[in-house]
Amino acid sequence: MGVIEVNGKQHELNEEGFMVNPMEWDRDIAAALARQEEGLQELSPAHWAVIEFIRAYFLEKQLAPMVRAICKTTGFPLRQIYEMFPSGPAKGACKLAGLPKPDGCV
Amino acid sequence: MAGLDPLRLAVLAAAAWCLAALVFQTVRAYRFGRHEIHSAAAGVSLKGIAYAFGPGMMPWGKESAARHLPTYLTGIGYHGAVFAALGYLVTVMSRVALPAEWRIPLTAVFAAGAAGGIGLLVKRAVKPVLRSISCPDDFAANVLVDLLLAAAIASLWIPGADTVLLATAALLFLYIPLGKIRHCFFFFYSRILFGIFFGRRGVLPPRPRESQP
Amino acid sequence: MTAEPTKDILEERLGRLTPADIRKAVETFRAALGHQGAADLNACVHCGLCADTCHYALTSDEPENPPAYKVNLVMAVFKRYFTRLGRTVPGWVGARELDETLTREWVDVLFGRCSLCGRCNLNCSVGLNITALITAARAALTAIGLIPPELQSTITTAYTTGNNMGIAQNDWVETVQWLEEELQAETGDPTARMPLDLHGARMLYTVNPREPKFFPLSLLAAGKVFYAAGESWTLATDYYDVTNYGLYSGEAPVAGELSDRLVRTVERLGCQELILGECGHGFNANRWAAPEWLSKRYPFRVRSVLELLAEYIRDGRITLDPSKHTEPVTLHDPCNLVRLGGVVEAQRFVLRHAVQQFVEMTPNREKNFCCGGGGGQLAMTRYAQRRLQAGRIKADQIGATAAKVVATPCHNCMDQLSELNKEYKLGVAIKTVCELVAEALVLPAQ
Repeated sequence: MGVIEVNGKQHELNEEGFMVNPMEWDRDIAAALARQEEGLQELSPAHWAVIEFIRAYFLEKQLAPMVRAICKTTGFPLRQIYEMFPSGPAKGACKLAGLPKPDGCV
Repeated sequence: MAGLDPLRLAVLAAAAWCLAALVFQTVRAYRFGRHEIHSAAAGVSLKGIAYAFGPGMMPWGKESAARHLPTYLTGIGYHGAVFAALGYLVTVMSRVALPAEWRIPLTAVFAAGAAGGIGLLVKRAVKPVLRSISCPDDFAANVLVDLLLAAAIASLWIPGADTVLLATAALLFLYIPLGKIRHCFFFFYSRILFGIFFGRRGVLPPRPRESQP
Repeated sequence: MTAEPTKDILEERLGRLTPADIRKAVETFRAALGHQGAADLNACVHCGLCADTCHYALTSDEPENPPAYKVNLVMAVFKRYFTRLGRTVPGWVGARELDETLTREWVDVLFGRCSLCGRCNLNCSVGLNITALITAARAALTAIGLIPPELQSTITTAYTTGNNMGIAQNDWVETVQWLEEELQAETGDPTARMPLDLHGARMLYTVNPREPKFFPLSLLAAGKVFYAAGESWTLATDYYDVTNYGLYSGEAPVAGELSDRLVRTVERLGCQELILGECGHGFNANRWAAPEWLSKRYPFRVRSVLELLAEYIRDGRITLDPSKHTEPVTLHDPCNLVRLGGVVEAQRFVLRHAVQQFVEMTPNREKNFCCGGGGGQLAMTRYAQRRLQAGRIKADQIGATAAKVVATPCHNCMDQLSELNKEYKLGVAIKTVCELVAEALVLPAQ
C-alpha cells in the first residue's frame, strides 16, 4: 500500500496507485496524482474538463463513465483523450479523478 | 510349487500386495469424479498421447529436461537401472543362473544407477528449492531403491547374498503403494491425461510451423 | 497526520474460519480435483525441475515461487485428507492440516503467485495439469469466501449485471451506435452496420467489456473487417461479454452460468457460430471449459476471431496491404488461447499478410512466456508489484525482438503489456490483431 501526501495530509493508495478512499479526493490530490502516477507536471484546462466530468459522473452513479460519454460531454475526440492521459481512460483519467480501480481487464 | 522358500513367497506376497494396492488406489482416484468430455475436439487425443510418451519426453520436448540435462540423464539412468534390477530379480526369483559374462555389465548398470540415485539424494538434501518441498518419504523412497540396486550388485558377486536382494525387494514392494514410488504407476495415468489434454486441444504434437490454418 | 489503514475483508475472513468452513473447503477441493487431480497428486515426485519454467520463479528468489512449491501446498492437503499414510503419519509424507496458517498460505501463493498460464504443465517431468490443481485449490478457497475481493468483484459484477464492467445496456447500445457512425464515416458507406440483435445472422460476435467502456477502437476494427468480408454478423444487446473470470475462481456453477448466457444468446438469435473476440481466457473458458461446466455439447461452432480472420484471408474475402505496417511487429501468445487453447498458427498467418516485418519472440507459440497478467492477476491489485516483477521476462522477450509494435490477441494481456511498456520503458505500441488487420485493409472501391 502506498500513500500520497497532499497539503500535510496522507491519503492511502492501493498497490496500483488508485485512491483507497475516493471520498477524500480534491483537486490538489488530482494534481499530485498526475505528477506521481502519470508523470504530468501540469494539468491543462482540457485535463480538468475530463477529470471533472468523470468525478461528477462517479459521484452520481458510483461508476466510471463510458469513454463515449467522456468524448460526448467534453467534445474531445477519442484520440485526444488517449494522448492526454498516457495510461488511458481507466488507469489515467479515472485514477486522477479519484475513482477506485474499475472491475474487469484493467 | 517347487523351489518356493519362505523368502521368495514373501517377495511374491509383497508384489501381490503392491499390485492390489495400486489397483485400489486407481479405483479411488477414479472415484474423485470423471465426466465424459463435451467440448468439440480440435486435435487428436491419440496423437497427443503418442507425443507425450515420445518426443514429449525428450530434452527438446520439455524444458525441465533441457535446462537440467545432467539431472535428466541421471534420472533416465536411475530408472533404467531400477527396471534392470527388477528384471534381474525375476531371474533370482526363478533361480535362473545368468551367464558369468553378464555380471560385469550388470554391475556397471546397477552401480551407475545407484550412484545417480545417491547424487539425486544429495541434491535433494542440499538445494533450497528441493529442500522446501521434500518430506522423509522422498528420502526413504530413494534410499530403498538404492538399497535394491546395492543388494542386486551384492547378489551378483557374493554367494548367498540373494537373500539380501529378496528381502530388500519384499520391503520395497511393501512400501511402493504407501509412498511416492506409487508414481511408477501413476506416471502413466497422468501422462496419458496430459497427452489427451494437449492432443484434443490441438496444441501437441506441435503443428508444422508456418502452416496454413 | 497518518491515514488509518483500511481494513481488508480477506484478512478479517481469514481470522474467523470455523471447522465447518474447513470441511466445506475440503469437500469442494475433492470435487474440483476429479480423477485427474487425484492421479496427478499421486504421480508428482517432487523433482522440482519445473522451477525455472515459471516467470515468477525466474524473476524472484522467494521460495514460494517455484510451481513445485505451489503443487506441494496443494498436495499436503490432499495427503492429509485423502491418503492413509497422510492421515496416520502426516509428517512422513508432508501432509498438512488445512488450518488458518496453511489457508493463509494457500491464498497468498495460489492466488497471489500464479497466473495459471500452464507453462509448468507443459514442461513438468511427469505432465501434471498444475493449473487444474491450483484452480481446484482456488475453488476450495472461493467456496469459503477466501478469494481476494478484487477478483470476486469482477465475477460478481459480471454475474449480476451481465458484463464484467457493469455497463448499462443503454450505454452499450449507444456506444455501438456511435461506432456504427464512425464505421460509416471511415468506409464512406452509409449502409455499413454494427448490427445489434440481428436475428438469423450467421455469427454472434462477443467482446471484452473494456472495449466499449474505454477502448472502442478494437471493436470498430472488428466491425470494419466484418464489413469488408461481407460477413453476416451481429452483436447482442444483452450478453456480449467474452470474459469469464469464473475460470480463475474455480467456481464452476458461476462460471458455467456466465458462459451459458452466450450459448442462450446464440440460440436466441439463431446464429450458427459463436465468434470469441480477442480474449485469451475467454477463449479457454468458452471454447474448452464451458461445455464441461455445463455438461453440454454445443450445437454450433465456437471459434476465435483469429481463425475467422485467417479464413477471410485464405478465401480471398479480404485484401490486405502490408505496406501499411512497415515497422517490425512481434506477437505475444496469450497462454489461454495458445498453450491452453490450441489457436497457434492462425494469428501468425494473419500477421504475415497484414504487416511487412513479422518477428517472432523467443520462445514462442505453446512455449511462450505469460505476460504476467493472467489468472486474475490484473484484477488482484494486492499482488500488483509481484505481477510487474514477474512480467520482466516478457519485457525482456519484447526488447530482444527490437519490434516497434506488439500484437496481442487478448485485451487482458494488452493491459499488462501496457504496464510493462511503462515500467520497463519498452517504447512499443500495443495493438490487437484486429486493429492491425483493419489498418491494412484495402476496401473494395464503392
